[in-house]
Amino acid sequence: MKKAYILAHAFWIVFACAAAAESWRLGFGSFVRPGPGFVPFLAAMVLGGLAVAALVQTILGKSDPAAGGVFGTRDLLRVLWVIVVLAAYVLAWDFVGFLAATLLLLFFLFRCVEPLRWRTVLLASVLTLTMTYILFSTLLGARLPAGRIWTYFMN
Amino acid sequence: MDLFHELILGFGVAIQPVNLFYCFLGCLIGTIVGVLPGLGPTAAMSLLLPATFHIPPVTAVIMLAGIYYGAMYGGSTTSILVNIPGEAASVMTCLDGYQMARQGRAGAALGMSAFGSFIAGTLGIVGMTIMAPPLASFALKFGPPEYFSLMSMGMVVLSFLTGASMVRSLMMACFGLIVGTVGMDAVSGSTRFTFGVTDLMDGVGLVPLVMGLFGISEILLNLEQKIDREIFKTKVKGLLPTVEDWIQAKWAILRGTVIGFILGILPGGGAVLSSFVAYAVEKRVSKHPERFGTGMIEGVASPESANNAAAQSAFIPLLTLGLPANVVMALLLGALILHGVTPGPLLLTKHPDIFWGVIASMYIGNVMLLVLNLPLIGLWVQLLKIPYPFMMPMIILFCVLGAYSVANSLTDVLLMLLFGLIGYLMKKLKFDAPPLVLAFVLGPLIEYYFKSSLMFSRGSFAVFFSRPISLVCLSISAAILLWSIVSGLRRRPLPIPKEAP
Repeated sequence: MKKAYILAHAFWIVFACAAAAESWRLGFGSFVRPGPGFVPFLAAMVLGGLAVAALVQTILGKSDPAAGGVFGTRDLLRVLWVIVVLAAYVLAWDFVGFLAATLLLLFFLFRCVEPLRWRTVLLASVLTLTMTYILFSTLLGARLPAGRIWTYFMN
Repeated sequence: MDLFHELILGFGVAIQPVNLFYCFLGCLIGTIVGVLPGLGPTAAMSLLLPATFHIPPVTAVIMLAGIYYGAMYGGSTTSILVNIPGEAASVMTCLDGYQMARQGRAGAALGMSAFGSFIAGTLGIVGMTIMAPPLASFALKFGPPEYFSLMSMGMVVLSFLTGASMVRSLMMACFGLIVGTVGMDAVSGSTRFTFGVTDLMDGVGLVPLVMGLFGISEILLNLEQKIDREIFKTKVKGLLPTVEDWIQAKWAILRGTVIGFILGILPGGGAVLSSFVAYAVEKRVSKHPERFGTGMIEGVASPESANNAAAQSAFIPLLTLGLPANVVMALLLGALILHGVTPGPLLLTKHPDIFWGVIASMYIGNVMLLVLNLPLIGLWVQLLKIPYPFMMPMIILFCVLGAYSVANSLTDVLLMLLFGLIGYLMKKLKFDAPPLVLAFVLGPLIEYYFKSSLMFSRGSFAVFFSRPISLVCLSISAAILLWSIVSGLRRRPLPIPKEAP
């Protein structure tokens, strides 16, 4: 766990340095006439300072042998897997369209993340898709992509 | 116009059919969200924020507010019947509520929880009706330095009260400030941190940020644990508390109301803290503190009253000062700003329909919630039986479509996923999201007031210390920071759990 915190605080130090550098590039200005980078630069400096303090505190802190780790490798992989699938799903909208992509995503979520029987998966996926499509597209007027592939075949 | 006429104006707005409908919808969704563990009012409000873009601002706030205080009502049901708090503000209700259910008094516990919530909620609104107008008049004296100091104080107090670590909470507040500056600078017109992405020119949207931090991250966290809900098998009967119950609980309800009302106003206070404090106070003043945790009705009445009173009084700083006391209020602030309405002292004069309409809707909402929570308790118990594997894909889909439908932008959805992952990591490492969201929402205002103050004073920081209100706010912030540093130095470094092999 200590390692995870050291990594986290180190990340924030790097992030703060990058944000401060970019803010400085944007223009700090002066106290009389603050520039666009004025506030983000100050915020990044404070963030960096706090992250250094937290890092020192973590390094000096003792480990509790009774406690478990923050991340289990299996859990983290599962979370990353879901995020990657969701990102791929969103990027697939443009090509295969909302309906086809969502149906595939729902199959994945109902079957793979929390395994259910295929009949249940099919029924739950179709019902969820219909419900959300009616709500967002018909009632709320969201312009959901039809998908280039279907447009190609239609033409 | 006196208070009575203003309330009449408010009720005129609140009883319009469309507002009544959305008030009911908000209360209903709030109750459902409160009943279901794993989805809090913040996540639900984030999910529904895009849906409010199609309705007038007053209607939107009436619905979102209904979700918030509705969740306070619904949260007790799972605490009492399942021993799992529906949301964080109902944690203390588990202690005595579940024990009462085990003793066959689930009905009395649920009934007292609903009546206590109703009484506290209504008293909270009365207090708000009386307190809000003078506070708004007082806030008219505020200039940029006062607003900057007040908002800074809000962030410091929130970081102090909500976080496991003050340092980590302040770090998140700074991160929120930086994220809030993404996009075009209103003064110079130059773009900041967009890295060539055109969709980021308007900045990071509130909806993708909060949906990611609260909705997606919650789903990712739930992937790790199997959610089992074993409902205590008892027949829920006798929802009307007996005379003896009322005698035992009356002071607990009143004390809970007062504690909740006061803590709800303070930045960082809110419903969760007030329910903990109310329970502790009740135990301390009781003649039988040893019986708390064994099924005392005061142990249910007090925290439930406190969290409802706090849910109402939290609106006072938002509506009068434009200062959100907690993350839910920050969301409401964001929703109002998205609708082109800036909460603050001028809200009362510029948009009296919103100010008084929202307050009046709360009176109506409290009655609706009483009706929803007592006769329909059987329905909520059934709702608890919906398996989580069915709900999870629906919540994901709602998040994705919610984020997309704001601007029909795929970038927003990808940003939401990014913030979902960040939120998940933050939860695992005990970095708090509320300071981040508060700083993100207040960021542009803080920047504006900070720069204006400096330009006004020709670069002198003395402007923040020479004005009494600003000085008081900064002194409080400094005292809190000093207190944290001193207590941190006195304490031995906290043991850090060793990594699992």
